[in-house]
Amino acid sequence: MHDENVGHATTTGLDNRKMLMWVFLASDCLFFGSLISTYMVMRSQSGVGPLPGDIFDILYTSVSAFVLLMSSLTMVLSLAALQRGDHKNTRIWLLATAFLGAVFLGGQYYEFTVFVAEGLTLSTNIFGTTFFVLTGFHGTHVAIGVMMLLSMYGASVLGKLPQSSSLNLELVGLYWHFVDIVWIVIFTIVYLIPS
Amino acid sequence: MASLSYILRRPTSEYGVWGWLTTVDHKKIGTLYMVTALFFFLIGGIEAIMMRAQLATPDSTVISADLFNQLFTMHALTMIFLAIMPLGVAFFNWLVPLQIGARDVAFPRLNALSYWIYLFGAIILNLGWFTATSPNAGWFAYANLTSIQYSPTNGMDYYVLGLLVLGTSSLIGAMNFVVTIINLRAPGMTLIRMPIFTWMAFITSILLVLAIPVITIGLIELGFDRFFNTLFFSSAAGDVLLWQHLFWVFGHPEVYILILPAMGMVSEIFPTFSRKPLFGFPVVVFSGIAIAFMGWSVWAHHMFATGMGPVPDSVFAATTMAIAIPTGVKVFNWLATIWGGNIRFTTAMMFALGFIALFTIGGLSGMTHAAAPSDLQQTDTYYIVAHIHYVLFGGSIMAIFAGIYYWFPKMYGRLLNERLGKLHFWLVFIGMNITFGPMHYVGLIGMPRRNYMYPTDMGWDFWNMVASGGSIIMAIGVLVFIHNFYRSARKGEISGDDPWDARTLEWSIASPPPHYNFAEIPTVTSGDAFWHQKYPDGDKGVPHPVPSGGEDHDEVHIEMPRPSFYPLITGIGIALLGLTLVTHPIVGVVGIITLLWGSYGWMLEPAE
Amino acid sequence: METQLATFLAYSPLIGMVIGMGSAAAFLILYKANQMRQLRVESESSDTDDDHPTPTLYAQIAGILLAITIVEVVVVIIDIGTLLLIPILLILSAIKFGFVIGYYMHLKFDHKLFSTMFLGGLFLAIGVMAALIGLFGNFTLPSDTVLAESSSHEKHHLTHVDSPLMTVLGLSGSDDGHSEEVASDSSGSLTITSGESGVEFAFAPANVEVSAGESVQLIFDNKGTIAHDFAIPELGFAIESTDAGQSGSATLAVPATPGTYDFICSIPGHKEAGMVGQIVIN
Repeated sequence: MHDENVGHATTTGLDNRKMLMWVFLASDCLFFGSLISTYMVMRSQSGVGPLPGDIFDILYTSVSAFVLLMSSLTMVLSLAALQRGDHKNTRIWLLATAFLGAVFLGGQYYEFTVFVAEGLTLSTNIFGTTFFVLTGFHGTHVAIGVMMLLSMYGASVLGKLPQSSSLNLELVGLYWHFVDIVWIVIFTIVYLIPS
Repeated sequence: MASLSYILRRPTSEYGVWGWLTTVDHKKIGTLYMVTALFFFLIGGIEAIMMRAQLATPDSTVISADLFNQLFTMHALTMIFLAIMPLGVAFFNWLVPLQIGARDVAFPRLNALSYWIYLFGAIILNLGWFTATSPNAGWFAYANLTSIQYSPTNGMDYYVLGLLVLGTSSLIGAMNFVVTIINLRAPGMTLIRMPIFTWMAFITSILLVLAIPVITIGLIELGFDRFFNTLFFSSAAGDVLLWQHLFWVFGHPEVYILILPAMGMVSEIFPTFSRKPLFGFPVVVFSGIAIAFMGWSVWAHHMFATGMGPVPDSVFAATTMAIAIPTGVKVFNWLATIWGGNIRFTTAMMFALGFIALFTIGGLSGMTHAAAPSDLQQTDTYYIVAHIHYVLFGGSIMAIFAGIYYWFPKMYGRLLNERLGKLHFWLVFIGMNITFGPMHYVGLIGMPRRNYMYPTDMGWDFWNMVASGGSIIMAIGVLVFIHNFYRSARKGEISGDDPWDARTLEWSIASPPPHYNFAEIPTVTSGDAFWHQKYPDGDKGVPHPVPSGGEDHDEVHIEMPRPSFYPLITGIGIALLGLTLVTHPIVGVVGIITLLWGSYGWMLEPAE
Repeated sequence: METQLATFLAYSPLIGMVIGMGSAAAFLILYKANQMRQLRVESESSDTDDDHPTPTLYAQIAGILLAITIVEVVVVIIDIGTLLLIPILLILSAIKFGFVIGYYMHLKFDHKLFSTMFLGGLFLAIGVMAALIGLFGNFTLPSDTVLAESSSHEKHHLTHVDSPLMTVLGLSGSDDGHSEEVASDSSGSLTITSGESGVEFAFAPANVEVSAGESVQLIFDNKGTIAHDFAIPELGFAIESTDAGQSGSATLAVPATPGTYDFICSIPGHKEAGMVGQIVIN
């Protein structure tokens, strides 16, 4: 069977697709870096409330941060399972990751509705603007990730994710972990560090 | 279902319209980019001629203020994003695989997608001509002129959405080339043995990968302000200067993205037509890398007039002056390449020489901008317009013309007519200086840019008339070029594989190349690989004939990646998504469905 | 002067970093080119299983990540002062970051090229972020100087004593007593100013009281540097746009029923920047 992991011979010996994913992640650093910069620059500029100190619930958000961190664990366990040919566990851990991702998204959605109810919207003040756009784009990245995870699950169920194609799962994993580390940064800078 | 699967099965044809719509061949994609970009170059030129017609005389009413605003905005957007950048990418597409001894880029379907997204983004950007207004707030669209309050028409919506789509195209293409250049080089081709044009393509692609996300965020924030009432660039609750920073953090690397491919091209042309290797090859490479890095530290020199304070002004003035050094180093290396060489004044060589002269003039005016105090006088005057055009027309465009004359034979197997070429050169060279030279003076005595009309008796009348006259000369030159291109593509003199006795691998195969490029992937043992194959006994030795493509290609049967229509479908999906906010949510829904269809179809079909 | 020095000190590392990065990266690339050529044969067979992390190790790392997160939250809740808090949080996050990148994303074990690519992007992003914060940041200058320079940047942080927010919320630390409620005076007129004490986007007083059922002559005095207006949207009352240094007035017919309403400046963005107050009808 054609080993997808090897692919073509390359100058560095590294797979093209894995390299492409890392190049993409480097560019995504600049994407989130610019959004976070915008948030930071406007951090103390809101003329009216609600302000971060008024509406953040650190404990709640730390639970959702924990959920996302655990999803990175399940992701890497799924990949490890596939690399040793254990398809059953591949699928279990994949579903777990998608589930945790969905829980995170649900948590974000709930948090957003609470904030809106407390008077913080996109146009209330600059904090609302920068916060919702930053976390909204992060959430969009997570949602796309969940879609990819479910697609991988579907592929596995249909027998289209053999051990020899573990690189495909590894690529989805890299994207997923990146989304997690962006949240580590956002959680610290936006929620934890007081303005 | 049989008929549906017939329609949806993978295309096999390489010919006809369907062949072009589904191609994944880097050479065809390069041609698509080039022809589309040249078309938009003409559009941008018409926009310029219209402006010059208005400005030829004082108190003129040929063009209304409103139309003029759209013209100067669209002229810049068209030239930068729809002409120069895609022409650079056209050459990346054509040359990079050939120069590194590869059969295609790393991701052929992704390559096709980049083109389709470019085409659709270009259309979105230009939709304003067919609806109410085109973008009209200048190409760098300073906030908060661009807010809904001050730009209530759709014009700036097309700006946001069009550039977002175009940015995606550039990003995807750049990622493709980074991987290609790192990973698909022929055996023995270490990075230092890689041709200089591919080096510049590599550096440019890295710059794109890192800079495009920043403008993407700026555009997203502007889009949110316009569509969803956010406050990013609100003059009161947000900060208008944030836009300028985000834009120029992208915008400065962007100008290096515009010039590095051009520098790469002339760096190949000088050695060929001086019959000498590029002087100081590693230094030229290192200078390119240095420019790319230092380019990130100079952006606020576009903002000297915004009142940042003396410390930022001084810091950015210093970094801007520093970045002239690697650029100057390159110029000296080119001169040293030519010095003492056996020079042939082909059209390509003349454009390359013209490039050095004009780009240097542009660089000198740039140096005067680097000093914040003098820049304060020059900002928003025609002096800046002069600088821009000397570096972008005198620099990028002249080099691109040089590149076209040089590599046209490789693409079409025919030579562009040299007499027409020389005529094109002189018309454009002289015309350009007549048009933009006086702008230095007129700017310094106070003529502001982006004004549709100027009063008489300011002392600007005569030189504006001269400049407008010069623009006619340039236009004639470009028309001569278009005629030359069209005629030579059909009936030009047959060029043969290596008409210029050149140095790099693309000349070692047929003109135009077979679809698999190399019958046998070469093994490289030095820089200027082809030259050393031809002249193993040194430059003055007897040339050895090198079999074209390495082997008798009558018997070659090489499998190449098959065409696919999923890049086109995915591109349509992205374009529809881009249009949602100016049309109707249903367009977005159709867009997402199309995008999903394209993406999943793509994933499920085999890579080859 | 100190703040200018501080600003300069903030920049020189950035510039130095960029130039240093440039040279370092150039050499790195040329060195890598050489190394890649040598490593090609070796790395052709993908990662060996020797030092490949096991599921147990992954789970242990997850435990560490959880523990660090708990520590971070605890550190925020107990108040140790921002000077200590911020570096601690940044370091803790960097550790989490490092674990996920190094082990979960496998960078520790993969070809160094991937690390170069990613860290290149990351450091550039951090550098740009630092520069932007430096350029916008909290290096405030005394308000006199600012107004004299009239730099568009400084309009927001005009003083570092009273942010507009603090004024509006009545939490001003210094001597402006704009927080207390002001009742209309006996002549039936009430003056509300904007631009008081150099704070452009705020009303003073921010809370006013009027008696129900009466007519009040509302005078809006714009002491700021740009045009503003005055409106009570829920009562359909407005004083039109007043230039800097001017005042406008109109008669407000106070409704008979008690209630509390917002008054704002209706120019886009001004309310969100702090130009909001409350009028209480007794």
